[in-house]
Amino acid sequence: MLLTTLLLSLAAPVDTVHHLDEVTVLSHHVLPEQTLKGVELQSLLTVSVADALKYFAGVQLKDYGGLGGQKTVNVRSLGSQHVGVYLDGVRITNAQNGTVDLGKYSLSMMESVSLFNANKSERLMMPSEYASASTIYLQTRKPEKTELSIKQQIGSFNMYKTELNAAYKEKALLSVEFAKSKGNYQFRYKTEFEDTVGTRRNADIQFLRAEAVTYLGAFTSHAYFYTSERGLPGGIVRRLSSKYTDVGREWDTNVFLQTSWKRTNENYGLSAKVKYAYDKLHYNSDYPENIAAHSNNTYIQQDIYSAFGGYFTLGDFTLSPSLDLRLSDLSCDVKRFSYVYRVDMKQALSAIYSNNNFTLNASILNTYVRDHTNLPANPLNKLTYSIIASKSMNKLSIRLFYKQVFRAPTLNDLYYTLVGNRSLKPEFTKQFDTGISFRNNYLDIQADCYYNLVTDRIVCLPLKGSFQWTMLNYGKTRSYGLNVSVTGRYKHSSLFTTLTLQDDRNITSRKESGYKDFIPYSPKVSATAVYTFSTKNFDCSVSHMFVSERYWTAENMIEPPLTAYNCTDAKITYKSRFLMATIECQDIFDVRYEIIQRWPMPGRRYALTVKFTL
Amino acid sequence: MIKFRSIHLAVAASLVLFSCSSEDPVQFDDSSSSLIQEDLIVCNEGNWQSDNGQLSYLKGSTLELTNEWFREVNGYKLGDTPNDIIQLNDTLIAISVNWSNIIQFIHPDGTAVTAIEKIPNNRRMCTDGKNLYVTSYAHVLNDTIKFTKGYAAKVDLSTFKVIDYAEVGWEPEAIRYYNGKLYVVNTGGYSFSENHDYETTVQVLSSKTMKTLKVIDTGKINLYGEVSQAGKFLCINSCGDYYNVQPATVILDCESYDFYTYDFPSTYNTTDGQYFYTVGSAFSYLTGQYVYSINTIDPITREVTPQIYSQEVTEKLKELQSPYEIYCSPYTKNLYFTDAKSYATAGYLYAYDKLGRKLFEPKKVYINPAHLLALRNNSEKR
Repeated sequence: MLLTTLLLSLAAPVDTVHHLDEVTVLSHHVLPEQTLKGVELQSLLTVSVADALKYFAGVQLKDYGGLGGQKTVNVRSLGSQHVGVYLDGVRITNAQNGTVDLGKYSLSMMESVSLFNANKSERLMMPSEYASASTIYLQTRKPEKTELSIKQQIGSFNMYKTELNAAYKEKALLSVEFAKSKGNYQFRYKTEFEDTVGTRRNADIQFLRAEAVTYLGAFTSHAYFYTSERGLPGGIVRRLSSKYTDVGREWDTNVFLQTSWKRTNENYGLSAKVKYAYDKLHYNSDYPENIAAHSNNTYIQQDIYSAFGGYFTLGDFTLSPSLDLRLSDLSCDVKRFSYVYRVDMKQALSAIYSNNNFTLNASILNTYVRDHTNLPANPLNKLTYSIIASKSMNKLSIRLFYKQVFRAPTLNDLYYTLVGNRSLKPEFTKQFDTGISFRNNYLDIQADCYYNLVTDRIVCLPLKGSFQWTMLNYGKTRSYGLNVSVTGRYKHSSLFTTLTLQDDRNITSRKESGYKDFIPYSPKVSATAVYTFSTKNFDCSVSHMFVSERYWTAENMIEPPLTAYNCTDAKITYKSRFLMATIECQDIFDVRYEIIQRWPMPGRRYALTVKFTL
Repeated sequence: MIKFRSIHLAVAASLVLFSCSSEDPVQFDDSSSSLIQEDLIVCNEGNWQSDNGQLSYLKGSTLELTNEWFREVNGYKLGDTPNDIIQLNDTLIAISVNWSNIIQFIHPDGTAVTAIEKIPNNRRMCTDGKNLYVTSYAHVLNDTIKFTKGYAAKVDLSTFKVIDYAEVGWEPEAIRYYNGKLYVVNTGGYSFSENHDYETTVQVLSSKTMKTLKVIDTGKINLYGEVSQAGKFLCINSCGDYYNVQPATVILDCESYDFYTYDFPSTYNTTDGQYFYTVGSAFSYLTGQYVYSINTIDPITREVTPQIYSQEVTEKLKELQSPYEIYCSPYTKNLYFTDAKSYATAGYLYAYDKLGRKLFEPKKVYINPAHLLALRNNSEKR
């Protein structure tokens, strides 16, 4: 909170600075960027942010199926814990396990969803924005008019949603949503060795989400509340009957409050952010019908974040220093777990040279992490850097970047009862990328080649000669890839397409059988296309996704890969001043596929939505 | 939730075991002409919730290895995380497929006989020739029979029906048959999440009535892992709690109920009918350190020798990336052991004869080769 005081004290002198609504972007496509926004975003058949991200090049969605299944993304095979998710510029964190369940964030609040490989390249950024291998930016929409709307949706598998939105022109947005689904979809496995038909059980979910955003002068504030109850289904394994099933249930409560303040002009800029987050997770499997371990545990995390950054531009040079402080804690009633809090301080310095359409940006990030718990813990202090160069020539630009970044072991990795290992080292990534982009009024084309290296992967493994498992630094992977995205717009039509070619291999040890095998769940080819036709009263969209076969075992040859799949969705919307009606169908051709082995996806499903606006 | 699942994964996927009552010492038959004088089944756990438990079959006469044996013979999959495999008689083998809640019965040629799901969360097994005895961590046997702690069930091998049961301690793991009595080794392994402590007891039941005859408190906690049986002696591993309580080995005399302990673990152990051969590690979360140990125990003299079979075997065991099973054939005294490598790739099978000489180059089996079963004279029959 010291930083908060500091930034407030600095607020006065910069009042004289000319205010711009948006931070000046150095140039377009300095780094690989993919964005979905406006009609294109809203016309997707998306339930959550995760569903939109799957259409981006280089993204692998990890989805356990159904409305309630956890959804995380992995970019260019670096691992989901290397993906930073930022809501209005403030990182969504989970100190416990380092991943963000994107299923909890609704697209109805969003103006845009963007993915940056490496990070954004702006003059005004906070240190944590440099600290992820890939960054996802969720930009809350600023209402263009004052209105009140109510939306009702019914869909397959007993899905029901209702949403109330209130908007005050350019000042405030309020959204309340309630949803529930039984998630009891049919699945089928038909292979050489099985013909299994069943119904997904214990896959129900109900949640309530309430959000409010205000835009007052230089301040943007966001309040978020989410509470849910869901069943946790297991993988589909051989059973003689449906007599025994998973019974574990999870209750989540997530709350955060965040405020950003920003003043910029051509030569100076200042920004400050503060956030408080509270996350509670309750897991219970202590039911008489449970045939496995009975647990009943609650985990509570809190997070206090403050950040301050600025820039000064002198001629062709810009210098951008920033610093932030994050205090996170975790308490839970698991046996032998001791309360732990983490102090995470970062300082970044970014230097930018920009002249004659040439931009060179070098940044250095210092990270200091120290944990406080029942036993002494060694602090982690690391320096990482990145360098970005780009050159624009009329509508064409070329770019090059190198970025190194690490992820600190999470609190679970280090301290969780009977697994955590206090001597873990951070997991390191190095990224090299070179790309080209072309943009005119109708077309936006980007193509990037990349090489990524991840060392000291943090994994859970048993010890030699022991039943005991623990977290260890083990493993090294490398990825080559090509990402292409093409967006075209002409009159009422738009087409967003992507292609990803990748070769992701395990290079841990030449002595191992899986050496140079493909990383599990990493397809060699994936492609997406979203076509949108929009008129005054109708929006139609068809989206398609192709994912090639994927190995699911670390040693590829011992099991056949998961089959390639195509999935096609369609949506038609009628809209008028007061009424909007939508009918949508996901997985039109009822293709039965799985993203995680033995976790089947739901197949064809429908939804009907009606929205009234005043 | 991720971490909780990891715990489950850790517990379920690391359930290593070894077969049990077919270890009665049998004279070594030097007249056999086959390369390893016996056929061998490797029971691979696969990965938890991946439905990829597999049996591998090694034909002794040719050293031909079939890694998807059960699937190929029967046309369907075995199930998720097989936990134990034992031979019941000349024509019947039982496999405890834990996460599938199935006990699968097969003939020695691999063909399925039947499968039952009457004993959920089934763990390990032993037999008296007529009945199968199975431990279970669950608290239910059917809609009317429920338990506070775990239980052992008795299955009639002529009908494959559960004919009796007994409540035992929390999370009973190994079970052994000796002279009309069952020795159930309680672990309390779910104590990390449940409101009870680790167990320290071995519960003695009458195999005939399933009544408890005696509860032996060994004073050592978490008696999880393999239990091998050399005559009247049992070799029991105590995992400790990985924090303050150190692991140990308990040697129990089934006749006198006397026991004594060693301050090293025997995570994986086997016997040739005279000695116990043990591989273990003592790990502490407080220090992050572990001590790896390889020992031979003479249960009569109580003498401990820090090697197994020969220097070559001992060195090879030390070299393994992830030892996952050690098994002495009751028929040939050949010593087999496995290396699970990274636990995500195929493991390897090693074989040495009774003099500690290598029998063949390591053979690649499947993911997490946790249990081995030698088949008596089966190579001649096949």
